[in-house]
Amino acid sequence: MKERVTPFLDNHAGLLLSLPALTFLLLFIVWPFVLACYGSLTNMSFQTLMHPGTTRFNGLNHYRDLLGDPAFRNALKNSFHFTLLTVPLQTALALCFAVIVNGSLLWQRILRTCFFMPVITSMAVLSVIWSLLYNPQFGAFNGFLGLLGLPPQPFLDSPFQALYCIVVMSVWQGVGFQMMIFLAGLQAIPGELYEIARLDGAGPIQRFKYITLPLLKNTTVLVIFITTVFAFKLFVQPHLITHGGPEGTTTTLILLLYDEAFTHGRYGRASAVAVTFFVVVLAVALLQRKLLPKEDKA
Amino acid sequence: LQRGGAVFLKNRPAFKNTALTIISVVAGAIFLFPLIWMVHASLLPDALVIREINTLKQLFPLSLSFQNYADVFRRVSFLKTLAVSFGFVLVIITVGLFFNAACAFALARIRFRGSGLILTAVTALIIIPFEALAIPLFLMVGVKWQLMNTLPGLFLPFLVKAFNIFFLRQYFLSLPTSLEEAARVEGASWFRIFLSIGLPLARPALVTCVLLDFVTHWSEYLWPLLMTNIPSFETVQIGLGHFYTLPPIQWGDIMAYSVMATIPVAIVFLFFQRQITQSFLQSGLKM
Repeated sequence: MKERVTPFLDNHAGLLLSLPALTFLLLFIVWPFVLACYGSLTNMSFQTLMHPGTTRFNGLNHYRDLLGDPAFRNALKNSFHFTLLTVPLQTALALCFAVIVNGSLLWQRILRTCFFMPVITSMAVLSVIWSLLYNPQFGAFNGFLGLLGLPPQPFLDSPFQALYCIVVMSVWQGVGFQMMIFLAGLQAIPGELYEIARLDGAGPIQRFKYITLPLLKNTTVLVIFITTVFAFKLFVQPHLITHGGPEGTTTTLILLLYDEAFTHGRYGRASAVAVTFFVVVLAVALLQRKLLPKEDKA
Repeated sequence: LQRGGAVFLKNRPAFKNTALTIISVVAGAIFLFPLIWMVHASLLPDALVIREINTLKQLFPLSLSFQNYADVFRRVSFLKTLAVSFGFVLVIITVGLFFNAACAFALARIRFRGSGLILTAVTALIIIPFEALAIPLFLMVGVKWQLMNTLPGLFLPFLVKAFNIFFLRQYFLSLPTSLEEAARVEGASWFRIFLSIGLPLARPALVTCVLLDFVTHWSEYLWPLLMTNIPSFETVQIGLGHFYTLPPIQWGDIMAYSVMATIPVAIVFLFFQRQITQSFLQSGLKM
């Protein structure tokens, strides 16, 4: 190989090769993060942007206001509500699916593919489809209920059902991803364990309870962590199909952030929501690290 | 199933497999009903979409047409939208990935001052969700730099990804160093080694990143929503969001749009199914 690079450049190759990526990381992650934290402590808004020099330091006022703001508390409540429903449902369902499709038979591969397909389909497309299926007047779901002789439901139009409707479609969309993680966990369990258990006379339920479940503990913690973070990011579905309604029952933390910032132009206040959101995600991540043994940490 | 049936199934594994295959196709179809309905509705005349789906009469309709697809092209500039989406994703999976790989290679292979600190920082950045950065990014890229409705405005924040650097570095670490050492002895520069040894060897990991980024950013919603305020510069997802509320609201047309918005990912999935599921898996395990 012929050498053309000067020794100076080669001596600093490490830094030079990482420089483009580092610049981008600083500019598009670190700096905005600092700005978000700082912005949450100021009165920054669309107005202050139009009139430079009017931005002033606000201290923790936004956080104090948010705590007393019914809209924020409602959004926080909805996000927690959604997460508390989605995470157990999705985790349990994903585990069931993984146990069923754990193998290389044709039918298992078919099911695996089917379960995974919604994962790669965009949330916008799925939201649109499901909103039509949920349509109280013409939707297929009420059609099915009619066939079963059941009364039609308002679904997304009802403040009592809307969030549950979004839970169902979100669980359906994401379960294939969690299933894949469980599958990896299942395949890491040595087959001999099951053989020994079988020789000892353990039935399939006992084998699941005493071998599969304990050995999947770390995988389960991981799945719960990922699902929780995803659930807290809930935005597309309410933004596209319910606009946070009816009666604010599907307004989530991120939807509130979006509305505060980009509908009302209250950037400072919205940044406080963003920081709150980050703190929740960080808390979940730290909890996960605590629950996992050391060798599993990234 | 009675005892006799069970014995019968046990004695005939081939029969059992066929039966299970049929059952799983049916179960899979039920699970995928929303997607099947999307394709189905996109091919129905509009009056039928609403009338028939309620009664399930026309689940196997006699008359299918591509009229809804033609209507989409007539009503909005879908091809322009498609081009924006492709441009956005392509830059990320080429230029962005190159930057990520270069940094990952340096962190895995070259000892330099500050590399430990950089690695720690990169790993820590993975946890910061994009949603928390949306406002300052919008004020910076969209307002200050005036990049709304431009391609750079769309792709800039996604070019470099802490996770990809982390992931590619892990992969570089798992590769043997003998080739590189030989090249070093022969006097090759690190840049040359990265380009002609590092990148080709890391191909499997690069494919993982490409597939994952393609699927993720094809579906990107929040950022393109913020970065576009004129219809001609929308990505497919944002275009669908608008088309969904664009009068006259015709379900057949909306579903045709949805199908076309899904086709690119569906094609990629068809060809790289195994790699895609593996990619998602690795992203989950390393999160």
